[in-house]
Amino acid sequence: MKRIHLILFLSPMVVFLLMFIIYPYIYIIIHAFMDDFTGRFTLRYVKNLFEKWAFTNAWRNSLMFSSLSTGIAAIFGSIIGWISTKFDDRKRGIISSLFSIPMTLSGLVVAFAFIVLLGRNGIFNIIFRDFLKLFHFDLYSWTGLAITYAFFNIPLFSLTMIAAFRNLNTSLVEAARNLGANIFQVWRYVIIPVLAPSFLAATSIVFAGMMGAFGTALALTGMAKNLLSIQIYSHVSESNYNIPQADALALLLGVTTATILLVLNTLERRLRIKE
Amino acid sequence: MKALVVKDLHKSFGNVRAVVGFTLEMEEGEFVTLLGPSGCGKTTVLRTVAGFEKADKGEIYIFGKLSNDIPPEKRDVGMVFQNYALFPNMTVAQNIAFSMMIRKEPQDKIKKRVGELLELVQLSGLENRYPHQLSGGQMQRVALARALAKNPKILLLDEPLSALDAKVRQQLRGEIRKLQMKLGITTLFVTHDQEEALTMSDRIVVMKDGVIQQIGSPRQIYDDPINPFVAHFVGTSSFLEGEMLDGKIFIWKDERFEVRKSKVKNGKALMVLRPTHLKMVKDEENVPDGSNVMKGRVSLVTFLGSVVRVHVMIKEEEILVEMPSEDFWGFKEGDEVIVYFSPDFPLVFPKEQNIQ
Ligand SMILES: Nc1ncnc2c1ncn2[C@@H]1O[C@H](COP(=O)(O)OP(=O)(O)O)[C@@H](O)[C@H]1O
Ligand SMILES: [Mg+2]
Repeated sequence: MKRIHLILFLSPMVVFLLMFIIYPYIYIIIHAFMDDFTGRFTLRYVKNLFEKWAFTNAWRNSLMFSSLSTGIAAIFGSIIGWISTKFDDRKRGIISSLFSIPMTLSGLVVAFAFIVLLGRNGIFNIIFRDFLKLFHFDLYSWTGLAITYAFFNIPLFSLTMIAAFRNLNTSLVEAARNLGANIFQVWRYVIIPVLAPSFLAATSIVFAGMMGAFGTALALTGMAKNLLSIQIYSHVSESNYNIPQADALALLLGVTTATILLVLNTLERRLRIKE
Repeated sequence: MKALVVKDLHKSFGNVRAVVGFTLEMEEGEFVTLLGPSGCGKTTVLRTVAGFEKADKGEIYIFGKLSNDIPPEKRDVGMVFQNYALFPNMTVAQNIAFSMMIRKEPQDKIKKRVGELLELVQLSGLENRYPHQLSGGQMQRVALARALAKNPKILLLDEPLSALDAKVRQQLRGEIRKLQMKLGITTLFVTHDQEEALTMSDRIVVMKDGVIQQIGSPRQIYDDPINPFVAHFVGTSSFLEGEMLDGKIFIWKDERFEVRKSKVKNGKALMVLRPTHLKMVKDEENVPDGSNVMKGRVSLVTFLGSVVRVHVMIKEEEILVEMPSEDFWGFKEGDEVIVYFSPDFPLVFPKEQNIQ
């Protein structure tokens, strides 16, 4: 009786997992190794991943761009988390609510908003390029893309860090100072170790999100930026139709992301302190 | 030289006056307790001594050295927090060794000292545990050892026992006091628990709304409270509202009591009766000559272990009488009794002094 209840209770989750995660992954894995016409096993598509410049370059770009974006989010998110300690709970609540907004916005809408602001004929360029004749900002560059994604990632990282700093007991800091630690030593021995697990958790979330990031990049730069996600898209779209190759690329994306997440999560678990 | 001198300390947070004109001098080796209700400014005083708050006005001298502008890490004081504040990412040994690690002392010396301290707080064998693997009492012992590790000149404890179970609290209370006497370390202790203050301290500082009410030994505070607030806060009392006549006679309803310790000559007054000052008998014959006598009816008898507390209704007021359990001879609820007290005991204060 009990067992049946449990099965019934868990079944929606199992169905969800099967339909949206397990089935697609199995499909991807099978088809990445299957010739599209003959249906026979082949390593051709996987070999392409390592041999074709476009793919190795996309892989490198995705890794570098995700790392860069995560780095930017980590720096600003941590600083914002620290600044939030200077506010009382009410103000901190307001900041957190404001920071939740970007996550609810569609990537496409944000891309257009950035085009209006920072695009070739956006407000920023009209002022700084046309009037002040100082410089020109290229939204369609890697920098532009990084800034646009920062709009999502910094709030995401900040939210985790604001919560982490809030839970950091101020008496820990005071205890350390009372025991002779100066400000730097307090950071080194107390604040950073205590915050590290949350920091790693936020890093994982942002990094994983960035590896798969696609919509905003496509809306801003079309297929001009060679990222794994864009490559996958181009292989399922008409111009470059090749489903098995897309599967192989998806496999590469999945394995890369999973490996890095595994490392981050292991580290996090090791550092996580039970209260 | 005085171990600690706090001179005319003032501290406000916005428009909250947390500490107002606090002055205290502590001898070396003394155990002084700041006692008062929550929010009366005890923690603020302690934190100012530790360097976590800046005084608006006034001076802090630690062993003669003006310390107002010395940062917390340079002050020779050890602090123990209510919530233990152990570093969760460090073992017991690493927590205790923290101050020595910061001072870059040699490993073997650190190891030896950690061993000694663990023994001192009776935690030998637990050095490799993490704080989350300890009980509350054990955590507070680690915090104590950690604070002592740097050999501070003054030890500050902010309600260190209030998060613990009654049993552990009682035990640690005694241990802290014994340890303090053994090490001879000057200690400033904060609590809102009058029993803790009475049992542990050399001297007690009673505070209310940021202002010191009275400084004295536990005996002085208990026997000779300076105002009704102190009498009310420290120990149990019954309060009678009446009128003083010639500084000798207290008139309450239609009773007249002779009193010797009145702060009022004539006019409205408040009499404080400690339950232990009152005696209770069945027949008037047993009352010693010269006692003040009241008649009443027992409304409740509570057994408190070593003492029995009897609530007696006298002229629609409830008055508490306490006696050692072995002297209790079986009053029951509803019994008519005679309550009497010597004129030497009760204190009489002006009516305008409030007990709250
Ligand atoms: N950092 C602070 N900010 C604002 N008000 C404070 C702060 N610290 C203490 N107070 C206020 O000062 C008063 C005294 O507080 P505190 O010293 O903590 O009292 P106690 O330790 O006796 O309970 C209280 O009214 C408290 O609300
Ligand atoms: Mg307090």
